[in-house]
Amino acid sequence: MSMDPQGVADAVDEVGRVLRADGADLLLVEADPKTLRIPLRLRLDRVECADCVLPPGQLAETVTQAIRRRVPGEFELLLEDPRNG
Amino acid sequence: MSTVMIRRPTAPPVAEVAAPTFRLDRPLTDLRAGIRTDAAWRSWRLLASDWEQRLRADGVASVTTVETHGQVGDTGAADRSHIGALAEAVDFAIVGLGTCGSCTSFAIADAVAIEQRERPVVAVVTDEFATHGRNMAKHLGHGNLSVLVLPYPLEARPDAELLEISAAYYPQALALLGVSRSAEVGA
Amino acid sequence: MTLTGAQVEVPADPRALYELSLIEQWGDGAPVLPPTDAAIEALLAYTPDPADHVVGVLPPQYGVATVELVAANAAMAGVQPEAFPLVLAALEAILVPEWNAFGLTTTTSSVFPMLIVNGPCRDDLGIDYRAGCMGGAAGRGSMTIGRAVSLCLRNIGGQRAGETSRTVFGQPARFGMCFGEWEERSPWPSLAQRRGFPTDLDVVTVHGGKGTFPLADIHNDDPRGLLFLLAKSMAYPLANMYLGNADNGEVVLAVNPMWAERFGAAFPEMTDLQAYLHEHAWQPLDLWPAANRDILVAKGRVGRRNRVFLTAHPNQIVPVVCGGLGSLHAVALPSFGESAMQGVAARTLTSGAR
Repeated sequence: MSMDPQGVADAVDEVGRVLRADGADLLLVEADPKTLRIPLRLRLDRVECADCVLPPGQLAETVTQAIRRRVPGEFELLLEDPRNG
Repeated sequence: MSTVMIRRPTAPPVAEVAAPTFRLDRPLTDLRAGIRTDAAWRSWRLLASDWEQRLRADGVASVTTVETHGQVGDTGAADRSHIGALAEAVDFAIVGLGTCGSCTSFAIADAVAIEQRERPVVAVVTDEFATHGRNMAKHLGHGNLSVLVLPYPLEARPDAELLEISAAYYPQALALLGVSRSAEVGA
Repeated sequence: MTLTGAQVEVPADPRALYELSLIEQWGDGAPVLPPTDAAIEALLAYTPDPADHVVGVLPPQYGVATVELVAANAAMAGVQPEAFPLVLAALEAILVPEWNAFGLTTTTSSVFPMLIVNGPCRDDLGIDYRAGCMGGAAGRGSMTIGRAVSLCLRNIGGQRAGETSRTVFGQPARFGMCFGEWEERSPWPSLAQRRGFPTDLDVVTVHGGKGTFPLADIHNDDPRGLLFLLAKSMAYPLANMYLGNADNGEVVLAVNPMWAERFGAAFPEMTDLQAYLHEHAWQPLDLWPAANRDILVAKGRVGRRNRVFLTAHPNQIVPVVCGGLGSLHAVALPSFGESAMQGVAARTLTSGAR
């Protein structure tokens, strides 16, 4: 079963809309149906309070659930979160 | 009932062609004997060693033993080559041991290789693999290959028991080779 | 196109055909599709080989496998026409003498051809290489290509358990086993590449495997620690590869992509990974009871420090990356021993028309 890149993009945008309300953003780097890797990048450069944004673990889980609602099958989420150092 | 035409998915039966077999029809005196053993089977090595002594006592000129170690690779190729050389160097041969699926197939194949060189040969298998051995001989075009059937299981029996079996079945091996009565100098 | 196989009139009703296939012993116990001329010709359209081309003579009963007869069996299995060249490639591999079909079709062992597919065709043909690749993913290619090969061995070669095949247990792969390598998640060249094939070819590698041997670990994150355990597990004391010649046979180690990434970081070169596995794939001689020890010694299988190595050479351990992202697991495909893995590139008529 092939991963639908558009479905992934829609899921990432759904979570991104929530983050943008706080001045953050979530960028989809790639949704590769061959490797099933989904690298994402969290942008916090316009955020005054980084800790006010969803904690890293919770953010990853939220994105995962959003993708799962749209895209069946396995995938590997690679979230680059500047708060992780 | 509605029907449909299909093509039969099975291969047509192979025509059964039985290559000639050969018998000694003479005593063992001055003949060159060959024995094929298999590194996998300690039991057969013991029987072969016992039969080698009996053959010498019965007057053969020589006994050449070839032990096989593999089915493929360099070892397998060397083994098949050694069997070919054995067939050229002896007047008759005893080939064992078929006591598993693939080893029976290869024992039969090696016996066939010797029979193809017009040497009397007897293939030795155990009871559990007798039907398989005879089938393999037939599939290889040598359905009349002489097959000696030993009891099964054989491998784990103690040496004393194996030597009893050896003594009991040696005359049968000679009979299958067509050794004439005057050569049977006691069992 | 002129087909020459014997024609048989059979019920069109699927259930009636199934019952007939059981009576005639055409199948493997599961329902089959009718090998009609249309179904056979659809398959033949994808191979450059003519219908009367002889692929080979299949043991143990030495039935002649023509392309047409193989297509009839592939039609019964439900093979997609575009996948037919892979069935032919698999049979060609099986017929290479070093694969030892003569021994493997008659042995008491459970060994059976296990097909590993590389190349661009995997997704289009439903060759499973991710989660459930060895059973459960239900890709059409995985379920039918292996089955077609199995039906050929049965219907053309005459390999029947309990009759011409002396297999004591058989194994699930006798229904057919065909999976792919997850090349895109492998840190190393693919199996086919390592065997000398270009990456743009579809290649079927056939391994004489005895079954799927599951290996699991949930504790160890260290790649060397994990690989040590995998090596020791593969070298289980009743492995077939201790029975014969140490130089013969391969053991396939299917590694999930998460572990592969970890192993690849520690061993970027496949040869180094294989060397490490080989270094640890042994057992001490005194693990075995006395009767077995004597045999191992007599066969020259005991090395320095009384170690009995599973294989003579590192390249006999063959890692392949596949499986799901759940990590935690690997699968060994133990070898019969007296058989050398063979790979053949599929030859496909791209136009699909003769």
